[in-house]
Amino acid sequence: MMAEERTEPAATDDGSPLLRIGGVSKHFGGLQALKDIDLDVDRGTIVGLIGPNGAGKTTLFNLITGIFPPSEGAILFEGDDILHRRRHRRRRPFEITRAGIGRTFQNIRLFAEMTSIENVIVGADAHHDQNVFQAILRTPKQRREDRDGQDRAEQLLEFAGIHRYANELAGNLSYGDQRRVEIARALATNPKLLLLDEPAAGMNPTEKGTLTALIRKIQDEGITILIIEHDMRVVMGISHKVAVLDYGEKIAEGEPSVIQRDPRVVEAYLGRQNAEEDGEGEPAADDGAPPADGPTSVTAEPAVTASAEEARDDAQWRRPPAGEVEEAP
Amino acid sequence: MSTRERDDVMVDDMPELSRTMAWRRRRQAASESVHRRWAALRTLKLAPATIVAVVGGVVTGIVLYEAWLTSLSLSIVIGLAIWVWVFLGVRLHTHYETASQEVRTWSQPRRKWLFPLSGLVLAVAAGLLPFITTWFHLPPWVELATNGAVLFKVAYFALFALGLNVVVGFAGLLDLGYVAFWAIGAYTAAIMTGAAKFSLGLNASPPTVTFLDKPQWAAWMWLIIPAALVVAVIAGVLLGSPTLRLRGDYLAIVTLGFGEIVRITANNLDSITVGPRGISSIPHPVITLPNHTIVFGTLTDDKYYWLALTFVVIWVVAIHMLDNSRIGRAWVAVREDEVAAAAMGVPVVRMKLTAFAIGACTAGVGGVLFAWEINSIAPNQFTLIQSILILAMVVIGGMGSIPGAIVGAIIVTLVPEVFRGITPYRYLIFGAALILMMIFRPQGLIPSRRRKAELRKGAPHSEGSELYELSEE
Repeated sequence: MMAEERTEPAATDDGSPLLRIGGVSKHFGGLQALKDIDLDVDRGTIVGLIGPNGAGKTTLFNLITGIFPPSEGAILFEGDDILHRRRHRRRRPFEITRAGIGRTFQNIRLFAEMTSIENVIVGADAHHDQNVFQAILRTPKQRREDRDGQDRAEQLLEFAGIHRYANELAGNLSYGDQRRVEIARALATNPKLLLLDEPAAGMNPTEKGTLTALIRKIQDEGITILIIEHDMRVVMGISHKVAVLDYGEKIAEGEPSVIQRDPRVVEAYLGRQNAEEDGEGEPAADDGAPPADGPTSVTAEPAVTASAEEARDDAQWRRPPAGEVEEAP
Repeated sequence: MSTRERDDVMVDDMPELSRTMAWRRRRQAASESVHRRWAALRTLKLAPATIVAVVGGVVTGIVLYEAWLTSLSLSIVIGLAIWVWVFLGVRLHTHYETASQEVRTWSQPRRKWLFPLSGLVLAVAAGLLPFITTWFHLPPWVELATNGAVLFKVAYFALFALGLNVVVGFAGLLDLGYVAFWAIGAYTAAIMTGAAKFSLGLNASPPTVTFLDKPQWAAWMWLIIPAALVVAVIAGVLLGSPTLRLRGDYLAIVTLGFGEIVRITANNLDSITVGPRGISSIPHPVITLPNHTIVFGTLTDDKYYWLALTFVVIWVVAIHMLDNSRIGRAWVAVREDEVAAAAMGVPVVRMKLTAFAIGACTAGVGGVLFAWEINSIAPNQFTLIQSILILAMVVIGGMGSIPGAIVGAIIVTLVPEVFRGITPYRYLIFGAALILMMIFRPQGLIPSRRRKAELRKGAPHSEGSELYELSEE
């Protein structure tokens, strides 16, 4: 029922998934952060990645972007192993970005001393390759690239709806605006796949609505999106597919409506007992999904959302200690 | 406060989002409000302020004349300048936002010719400095500060500060061994001119050369400058590629070690660098023109000063261009947050190497000029304290600021020179000035736009950038 309300996946050139994660594991010393993860991200779709804190979601992002290599398994982007350009030679993060994977960070990592527009131009520079001499001599190529970066940044700031802060220092912007600058910066690298790491964290309901609209707009541009998000209304509302991680393992994958009813998912979030008791909980009134969210705004299925509404706060989506779970109504 | 004001303007006249950007419109809006702001300025009582400034200026001038200076007219000019400066300062301080906004609104549309023109005027004025003591009757300390040797020292230190500013200020890499590249440039010059071979022969017992074999200047020796540039870049890359993955303190320690390694190598590699005795008899450049010859380093060092000034000008322009290009942006991005920079497609290691190489070649060129002028070089001229002094110039001027680096070089070089009369205390005064500086103006005398913002807010940012080890080879 919710699937119809969702934007249809953009047209794909062939059937193969854009990103294919095959049997990926990662351990840091004795800590198993990810265990044998398989995940396909189809072209033009929005895939949600959820799971309690510490489930390994951000680690998976860091593997995809090459910040560190997986212990086992392979990650294929457009059929290529993104981690290896040649044999024995790992791709560096900036090469992966240039190959078409853009990302944002969970804890916003803008260049705080630069203005918003400069931040975005840095992203656009991913596809510029003027060298020192061209830069010093201001060759036509350099001028062309600079104009291109400027234009692109202006367009993207407008696209993200923050052009009025173009000349503000990024560090001075509000949390929500910083997130949007970060998204614009990631888009400036011209990605085929955009990784969003908790874009709605710390946003108020209005901002979340605008964000959801922005993410849809990005998808309309033909960009595939993999999104980590704790806010169930956001993630369930926009994703075509949701994968759930818990303790480094993928415990479920499928359409949002299916995932919301999946007992293992409910258990991972709320603990076993609560999951059983909570079955009859009513979804609370929609507390302010803005008009931008419109008809596609999703009040998720009872089991998961009811307690989210009680909590009124994303922070509650942290794995609750066992004791508290018992007392939950 | 001004931010909110500007935003209001924006909200008012932003009906729809067109391709024209908001910040361009904001600039327009600002120029419209200039009239309003001039009106606000005019309410300040100008007349009484002028009278006080003029009277105060004349009185100060006479006092200065009696106490210290030797020229009455100059004293009065200085006195007036002090008072005008005080008033202007107070005015600017109380109306800082308005005034700076006005200056910006006025200069922005004119920046295409205004900035190069003011740069040219400054460069010409700097070039005329050696003559001012012959044109005017000036107190002895001005003569101390404007003789050719001191001006040349200022100029090559300005060059070093510009180079180190790229490494420390732009790319955020703390380099404590910068003197190494200076030494490499100087030794390249000494060896290529044949002075090293001559000194070696002279030191042999019995000497294998006589003073008739003293190396003479040849026109090709100008090529030593590009050669030293290349050598320094190679040295910079050699040092940089294994070490630039280190961060902060660790990089500082490694570079410090590199500086010492170069010095100690020069000290011990007798067969090439002539060891601790150093290399002497490095020839001065000679320019042969059809009807006369220009010899550097005779009587005064003015010609060296002009040569070094030329390089300073070239470097200022080049570094300014770099700062406003993809490379400059990449440097700031790397300085701010390496992980985010890499995720935005910035080749972090390559950009750091570029910064290092540019810093190194600047010092290489400066080193050549230094060796030519000073005639003889020895390892003990290239000690850690020189690296620290250059770093002090960058910090005092304002990290990441090109004019700041030059001002820093002027101050750090001139203060000890000017106080030569009280030699035992001059470094005490210098040290006190540094401490006061760090207390009252930690962002430097002419901070860069970015640093100013950072230090004014004092906000820590990009914490946790040490959490990930960048997986670069």
